[in-house]
Formats: sequence, structure tokens, C-alpha cells
Amino acid sequence: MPDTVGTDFRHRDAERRVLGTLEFVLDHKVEGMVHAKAVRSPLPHARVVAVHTEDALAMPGVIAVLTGQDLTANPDIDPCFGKPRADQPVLAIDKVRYAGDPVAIVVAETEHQAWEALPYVDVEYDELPYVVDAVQAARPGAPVVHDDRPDNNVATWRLRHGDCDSAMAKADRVYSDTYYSPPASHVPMEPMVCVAQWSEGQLEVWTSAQAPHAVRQGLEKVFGLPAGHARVHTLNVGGGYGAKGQVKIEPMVGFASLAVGRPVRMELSRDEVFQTIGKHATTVELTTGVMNDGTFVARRMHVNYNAGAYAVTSVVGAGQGLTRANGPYAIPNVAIDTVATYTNTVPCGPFRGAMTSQLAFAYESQIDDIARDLQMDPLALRRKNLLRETDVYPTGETLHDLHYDELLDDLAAAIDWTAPPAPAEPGRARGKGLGIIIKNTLTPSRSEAVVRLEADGTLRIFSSSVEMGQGANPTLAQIAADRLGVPVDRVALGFPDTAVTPFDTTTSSSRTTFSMGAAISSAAEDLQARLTALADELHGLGGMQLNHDDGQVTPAGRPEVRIAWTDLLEKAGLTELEGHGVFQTDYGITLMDPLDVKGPVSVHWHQGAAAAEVEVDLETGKVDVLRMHASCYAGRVVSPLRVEQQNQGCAVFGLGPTLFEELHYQDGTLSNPNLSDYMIPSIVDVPATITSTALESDDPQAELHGVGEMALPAVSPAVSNAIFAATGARITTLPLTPERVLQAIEEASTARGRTELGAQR
Amino acid sequence: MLIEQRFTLDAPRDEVAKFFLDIDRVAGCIPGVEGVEEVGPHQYTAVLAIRLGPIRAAFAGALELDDREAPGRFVATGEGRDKATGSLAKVTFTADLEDVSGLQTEVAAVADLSLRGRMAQFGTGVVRAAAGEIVREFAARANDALDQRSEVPGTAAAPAPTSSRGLLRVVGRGLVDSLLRTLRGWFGPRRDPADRREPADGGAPR
Amino acid sequence: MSVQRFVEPQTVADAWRDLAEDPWGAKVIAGGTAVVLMMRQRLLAPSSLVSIRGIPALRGIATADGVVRIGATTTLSEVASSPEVRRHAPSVARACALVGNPRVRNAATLGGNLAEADYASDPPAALAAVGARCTIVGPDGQRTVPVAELITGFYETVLAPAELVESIELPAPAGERREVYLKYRSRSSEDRACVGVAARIDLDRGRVADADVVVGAVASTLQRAPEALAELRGRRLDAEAAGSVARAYAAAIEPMHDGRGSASYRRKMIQVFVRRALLQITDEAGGEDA
Repeated sequence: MPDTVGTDFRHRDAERRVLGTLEFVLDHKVEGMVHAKAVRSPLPHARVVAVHTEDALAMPGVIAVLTGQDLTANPDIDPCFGKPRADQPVLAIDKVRYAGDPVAIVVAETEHQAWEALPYVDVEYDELPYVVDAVQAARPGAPVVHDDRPDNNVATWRLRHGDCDSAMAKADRVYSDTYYSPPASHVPMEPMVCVAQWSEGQLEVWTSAQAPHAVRQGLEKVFGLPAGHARVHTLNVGGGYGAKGQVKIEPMVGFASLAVGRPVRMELSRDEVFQTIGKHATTVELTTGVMNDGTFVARRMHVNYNAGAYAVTSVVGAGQGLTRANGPYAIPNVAIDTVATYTNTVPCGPFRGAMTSQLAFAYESQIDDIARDLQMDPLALRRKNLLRETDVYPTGETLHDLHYDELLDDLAAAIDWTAPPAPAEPGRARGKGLGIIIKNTLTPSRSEAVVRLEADGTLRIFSSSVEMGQGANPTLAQIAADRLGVPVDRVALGFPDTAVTPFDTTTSSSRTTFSMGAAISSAAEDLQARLTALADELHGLGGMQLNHDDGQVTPAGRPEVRIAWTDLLEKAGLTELEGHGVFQTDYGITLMDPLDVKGPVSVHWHQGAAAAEVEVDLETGKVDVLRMHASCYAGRVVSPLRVEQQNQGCAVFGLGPTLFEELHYQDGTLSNPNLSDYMIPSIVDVPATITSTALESDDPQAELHGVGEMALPAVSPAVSNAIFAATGARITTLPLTPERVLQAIEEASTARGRTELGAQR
Repeated sequence: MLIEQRFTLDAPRDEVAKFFLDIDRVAGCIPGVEGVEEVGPHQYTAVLAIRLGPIRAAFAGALELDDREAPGRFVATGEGRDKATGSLAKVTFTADLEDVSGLQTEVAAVADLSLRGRMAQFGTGVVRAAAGEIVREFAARANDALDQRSEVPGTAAAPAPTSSRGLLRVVGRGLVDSLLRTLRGWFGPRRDPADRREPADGGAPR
Repeated sequence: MSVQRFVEPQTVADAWRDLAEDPWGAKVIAGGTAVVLMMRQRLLAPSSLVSIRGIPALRGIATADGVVRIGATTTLSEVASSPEVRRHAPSVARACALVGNPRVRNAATLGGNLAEADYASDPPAALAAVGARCTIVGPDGQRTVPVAELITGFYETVLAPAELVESIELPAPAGERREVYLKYRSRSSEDRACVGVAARIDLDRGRVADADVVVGAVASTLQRAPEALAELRGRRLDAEAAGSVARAYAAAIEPMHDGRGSASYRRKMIQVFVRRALLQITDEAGGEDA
């Protein structure tokens, strides 16, 4: 059978994607729609004294100017959204908590008119002291972002395993370092965009979102609607990377539409995208106790995630970080605390490699320092401490299906680890580095799917997984075709529509191929079972073993009897037949005591790795990444091409925050919310050589693993370790800018000078 | 952001101190300052016109002078907003006056400037450099002004300021007048400038 | 205030007239890569746009009497790939080839690039180092300004409101000439320069007859250290001379701080790249990018 799992099946819309004719949410229009723009706070923290709307209302085309007062005046509206903590007002009510917080909405006949009227909304602010840095925000006396959280704490999570203190005291050597990753931005190509309309008390939206059902639930909560009275559509989404995982602008647009009684569209400008969601700036304090032979005996970590002004996903996110912070090592005594802290900055959410990249930068950097100190090979030191089959993780669960030894073998082969790098020209130095990571997938979570056989033989899949360029649709179609035993071109897969496509938690956390894949497989089995029953009933094949192949039913041992599924439908007088499938996990971190996390936290563990070879200009500190290798454990590969593309994507996407991506705050406001001043990698920044490996299980029934972010968190430490190998310069702050590299090189050479001087004495 | 500059004025400290207390003379030396009006003791409203290449902004707002530590130190705090770009600027300008040989005065000027809104997205480097330019220009003009000791160079008499020339060309008197009206609207009936809070500082806790 | 009027004059004279009709609110637009970005960021709100892209007289490259004349609306791609410019002033072609990315270079124009006066752009330094001049036209007639004197501050030029850059002229070299433009990017490969160095020497029997080194992207205007250059005159350009000029430049320039580097880092990079630029024309290694 062609097109099944393990073979490449091309994206159906590949041509249209390349030609630029594919329709995105951005292109969606509704008859009679008007346009909304948000007035955003220029101040990081201020009381809103008054919002004067008269001048703006007098501008041409302006239909309405809505404020927080309008929001609270409507008794049916719950003005705040967010899950589990509903702390984010649709529009600022009493105060603004970050520069970019929406204060009012201008609705006008055209987008341009709304845009023109914005400066005429006159907002009086009373500025409050603000805080940008999460470590400062967590100290007593810091400005308070939310009055009900005087300590600015969003969440605290705790993991204890063994006896960290006494093991640390007995360790031969103790290494203690602090690492910092700055705030960054997802930069999806398509901005957040939403069209909303009301009809007979029901709200319908089209939105560029990764989790349509989560948006539906969020809207139902804000507008006090019964379940199902909000309806969310997504079309092709132009990139998400975590930026579109939760409710964003939909309540604003829904509110505007409710107020003016017409369909309303809002599209964010690029600076607003920067001001809507970001990546957590993170400070990681990491202490590791090591014996002289390299055995890790204790690890203590304190991680402070800067959540920004609103919790978004930080409550659970800090918990996810907790379970990933240990790294892929068997350490018997572990004490990890993660906190998320409110600050007056752009709210943060998951960023491809969510919560993990910041941690891996810390633990995979430090391990190379330890190796150098112990005069061990960094790969050998990793191997000595690796998590292996049946090891117990600090959560107390016993781990299975671990492949770190093979991942290390793969890295070593790909980067020619044992060979020294090719000599560089004078004034330049080359080095190799690597990193490995562990990451749980969102657990608990739920995916539901329907597979419907239609009279013409089409197999239509109903799934709420979002196609955002990652290839979810062709992958899921392939899984369905594989399980149903039909050519993939008989499988049809549309876009999520919460009124039609069943529940799915989210398209993120590398869970779609696995979770939705499992739901679709189970729906396909259900459909086959129903077809079997139908064949039994209509053809009197009771008791015979029936096989399904190429859309036909065949009794075992009687190949001459072939009954087409479509004939079964016709004979039964049916126009369609549906199979239903659910994949659900009902355990995991959100069901645990945050201060005492114990038990299984992931349905399976994501295992990723990366290696890099770099060349450093010793006079400028500029780093050229000569080659990258991205590797992951995939269980079973659905499409080798797409796995390779995801691995390449991880390598390139990961290079941005590694080398230059960073949001700058000046006076509490973003000073680079544009693509001239916030750099993302361009095609010219892509290393000349990127190689990729997807390790597969020998077991034909092995679970499918998502691969969209596996190698990503390993990229920063791999590059940083390669710089360390080349120059002896260790940088503990991302990004690894030439200026930082040069300074570290100078410091390293001063330190070497001192050491050599000492040795001479 | 902090912008620090030292410059020497060719006048004894007492004379420089007197100069700093004369708002019209001081304003005449700040490129781009327009329409200064006294609204209370040591309290003024004004428009600061800034031009950054093609971008023009007119920050309308309030200014307050603190001379409690005179003649050794003068502190001016001001804040204003530019409606067109939706930007807010706030500055605390501290000038420490030190006598040099009785004939000259060394001024250590520190401007703590915060800029928010769209103008702030133009890039910290450019904003900092442009603000530094204003302080440098101020030093040059203050020297000129102190040279003409007997005269009082009011705004109108001041030589055409290089940085505001472009702006005035564009906005013309009409816009400045309307900004001033708006300004009085903000700071007149609605809020008494005397009641205004001290501007919050950098925000980070100490 | 929104754009009320968009006009596409066909002659330079019509362009002034269009500008004069709305002297306070009109903005010239050619490739649009700068103006449109600023408008989208709402930093700029012109009431009328005068598009000069369609004026035939402003476009194209021609050589006469050894002078290469580049029309103002010639795109950076066209300049970069022009055989005449590559032969005559390879460092200028190189600098134009290093701006942004192909999408930008195919739209952005050389005249627009100069009129925008972005402190971190590449062509101005390269043009200044080879002694390029800019012909400016306006209601009061025509004047010629050396590119080195065109930019007066951040995004500021000597251009009066209704004046336009008409063309850029590259004068003929007096004798044997070597030149190079080095662009140092501290972030993405599509970034503007952290430091841009244009170096040019004219040789007379192996000795420096005239030299210029222009540093861009480090301050509001192009930076030079004429005293350091004077020392080169009559000497052979060797590694020692290159190092000494580089040190003098690093000492003389007051660099700025921005997202691409601090002032102190920039000072170091000025020294590195002035030296590297001069070394490249010492060996005649050619103007390869850093």
C-alpha cells in the first residue's frame, strides 16, 4: 500500500503554499464586516484614570469606541480570561500591567479609519512603579502587578527525590552556576487575526489559533454562553510556535462585535504581535554534586520563569518545566523548584521547545564545564550519567523506551566527535559541541476524532488539530489511510470547526501525531468494526473472520468474495457511516500537588539531541555555525521527509534565540518590536550542512512520537559548548552575541594567563 | 535611560544659577521648546518639538523646576505626550553647578529620560543619541545666552533652533497653538499640576 | 492624517511641482522600502506621496567622460550587478549587494538610500570613500554635494523640502585604485551593519597618492579620521600602516550604542575592520565580505 505510515506523502497544498495562493485566516472575510483596532498602553504599569472617547468617535467612519467600563457594564460578561487563572481582562479595567495592554477598542467601517482614530482616544494614566526583571519582582517590596498576588507569584512547583542536601555535602565536587535566557518572540508569519459575528445569541469566530476548542471554551466563559454557543473556526494557520495556543484577541473581537451588532475583524500589526505573547525570560540557578569519577550524585535547581503581566499558561508551564529540569540523567538526589513570576512585561506562553530550552541551556552547558574540570570527554560524562531503561525519574516513575545511548551514538557519528575539528585559519578557532534533552508531553490531555465513510467512498476525518505549516493534515491523513487500509487520496481532512469537529486539547506540545493519531486510529478501528457488523448482518457472514483491504471487506480464506464498503452502505440504505475515537490520558501534573509532585507526568518522554560545529572569529567574537545535526527518537516515523524538515526546523529556529533573538526593554517598554530590530534567522544564516536523524523503534507497534520541537532545546547548549570547545569561553547568558563571546574569550584568556603564571611559580 | 554630559559655561556660578531660574532664557536654549507658559510657581506648560529625520513629534506637557538646592543644583522634571505617534516622554534633568576659578562654571548634566510609545520603538541608540544632541545644543546656546548678559533672549529672539526648524516648518504655528490648547485642557481644569505625583522612578525596587 | 494624494509625475519638474503643492505633508517615495515601513509603524504620516519611480530620467546607469552616472531611482540590485559600476567602483557595487536581502535590493533605490540617511546603511560609506557626488535638483535649480557631506545626522540630510536626489556620480580614478567595502554584522545575515568600513587608495608607483577610509553605522554620520589618512600619503600601504590607521580610527571615533553593539565593542570592531579593510587592499585580496 502506498502512502502509508513510513512513506512520504506530499502536502496536498504544497504548490499553493509555495505560490502564495493558499488561503489563511488572514484572508477570511465575512459579508458586512467592520474593523477593530486596539488602543494599547504605552506605559508598563499605570492606573487608568479616564478614557476620553469623544474625539475618536467624531472621526470619519468610527462606529464605536469601547473601554473597560463598557465591558464591566455588561452583567453577562466575565471580563477576565485565562486558564487556570483568569487574570487577563479583555480590556484594562482599573490599570494597565504592561506596555501594550489593550485599553480600548476602536471599531470603524474600514481598518484604515480605525487606525486613524486610535490617537484620538485620550487615555489619562497615573503611572505606577514597574518591574521588568522576574528575580527583582519576586523580592519583597517589588511593585505588585496583581493586587491579589502581593508576592507576584504565579505558581510554585516543587520536586524532591532522595536527599539532595546530604548527597551534595558528600559530593567530591560541587558546581554552581546561574544561567539566563532573555525574553524572545515567536514571530509567526501570520499575525493574530480574528473575525467574530453574533447571531441569535451565539458567537462565531474565525481565528488564527492553535487550540480551537480552548478558544471556544474561553469565549463561552467570557460571554457567559452555554457550551457549544461559541463556534470557532480555524483555517490554515500561518505559523504558531506556541504563540497562538490559548485565547488571545478573540474576546476583544467578540466583544466589539457584540457592541456594534455587526461582524468585526481585527488583525494585529507586527508590533502588536510582539506585544501580545512572548517567550519566558528565565533565570536558572543550577548546582550539581559530582564524584571524582564523574558520577552525578545530586542536583539542586531553582528556576524563575518571567511570566509577564498575565499568567496565560505559566501556571502549568512552570510545572512542565519542573519535570524537565532534571535533564536526561539518572541523579539519585534531586531538589528542583520552579516558580513563575508576574512582571510588567509582555505575557508569556509556550515557545517551541516550551519551558525546556532555558533549562537545557543551563544543564547542558554546565555538564561540559564539569567534563573539562574532570578532564573527561563531555560525551563520556553524559554517557556515564544517562537515564536508561527502567531508571527511576525524580518524579518517582520508572522510565521506559529510552534511547539516549543511541542518540549519543548518533550525534558522535554525525559530527565525527572523536576527530578534532578541521584546522581554522589564523585568528579563528573551531570546536564541536552537543546537547541532549528530555521533555514530557502534555499530560493529561484528550483528542477525539471521527472518521466518516461517505456514499462515494470518501473517508472524511473530523479533527480539531490545526494545520499551521507543520504538516498535521497530511500526517493525520496518512495515519488514517494506514489504519483503514485505503489509498491516502480517498481520505479527506478539512479545517477545525468546533461545531463539527470534536474536542482536542491543543495543537502543541508535540502531541498531535501521537494523540490525534491515536484518536484517528481508534476511530478508524471503530468504523471498521461497524462495517464488519454491517457485512455480517447484510451478507450473513456471521462467524467468519473479516478483513478490510482497499475499501473492501473480505472473509478470511475467501479472497474471491470482495464487498465494497460503499456497497455495504448502499445496501443498508445509509448515506454515511461514522467511527468515533478518543485518546485520553487522565493523570499528570495538573492533577498533582504542585508542592509535592510525585507520579507519572507524561504518557511518554520526548528525547532530542543536537550537535554543532562552529568557527569563532577570535577578534570579533562572531560565531559561524558550520554544521548542525538534529536528532530525535520518533518511535515510528510517519513521514521521513516531514521528520527531517521538523529536525531542520528545530536547528534553524533554535539558532535564533541562541545567536541573536532577544526582546529589549527600555523604560519598561519594548524597544525592538519590529523585524528590523528583532532579528530572526534568514536563509543566509542557515548552516551549510544540517543533518537529521529520527531514531525508530524495532517494535512495529511502537508509539508515534511528535518531533516538532525535540531537537530544539539542545541547539543552544550544543552551539555554546562548541564555542567553549573552540575558545574556552563559557557564556551563561543568551543570546551568544559576538560581544558576549569576545568578552568571554578575553576573560578566559586572562584566567588562563593567571593559571599559567601560577604554575610557573 | 541616562544621558550624562559635562560642559563648561563661561560665566561665574551665580550668574549661571540666575540663568537657570529664568525659564524664558532656559527655554530659549533648548532646541524645540515652544510656548512656555507659567501655570504656578516654578510650574510651566510647554511643547517640545523633536525631529528625528522624517519623523516629527511635538510633546506637549508640563515642566516643574526645583531650585531647593540652588545654586549648586537645579532639577527640572517634565513630561509630555505626542498624540500623533502616541508617545510619552518623561525627563528629570539634573544640573550640578560647580565653580571653576570664579569665572567659569562647570555643569554636570544628567538627563534621566524615559520614552514610551511608538517613538520608543525607533531604537534606543538613535533616541539616546538624539537626546544627547539636545543637551549638547543646550550647552552651546546657554553659552551664547550667557554671553549676551544684559539681554534676555526669549524664545522668539533665540536663533532658529536647528533641530526644531524642520518641525516648525511642518507643524506651523497653528498646530503648536492647538497643542497648547489641548495642553491647557489636560493640565488646567482636569488636573491641577500642583497635585501631580512625583513621577515614579525606574520602577525596579531598591 | 492619512495619505490624501498619491501622484506619479513623469518628469523631475513635475515632481517639484507636486511637492510644492503640499510642502508640509508631501513625501517622496521611490522603492518604498523605508517610507512604507515607517508609515506602517505609524512613525510617519505624510498627507501626500510623490512617487518618482516612473520618471525615466531618474533611472539607469551611464558612463560619460570616465564618470559613471547612476540615476537616483536605479535599484540597489541594478547598481550591484552593473558591469560599469563593478569595474569602476567595485566597492560601491559590493556595498549595494550587501543591503538587506534580495527583496529589499530589488525595490530600494540608490537615491532613496541616500535621502533616507539611515546611519547603518552600507552604500553611503562606500560612495563617500570613492569620492562620489550627488546631484540634487529642486525649485532653486541644481547643485552638487559630495556624498560625504550629504548626511548631517540621524536620518537628516542637506536636502531641502522640495529637493530630490537626481543622480549619483562616480568620478574617474586618477590612477591605480584599490577599494573595498567590509560589512560587519553582529546578528542575522540580513541585519544592518554593526560597523561598515569603506577603504580606497589611489597609488602612484606603489605608494599611496591619496586614501580614504570611511566608517559607517557607528554614529549619526559617516566617520573619518583625516589625520590618520594624511600619514599614509607617500607611503607603501603595509600591515604596519594598516594597523596604525586602524588604531587612529578607533581612537578618533566616538561610537554609539544600539542593538547591534555597545559603544566599547564598536570601538574595538572599528579597529578590527579598518585594519582588515586596508589589509585587503594591501594584498589586493579583493573586496570579500567579512
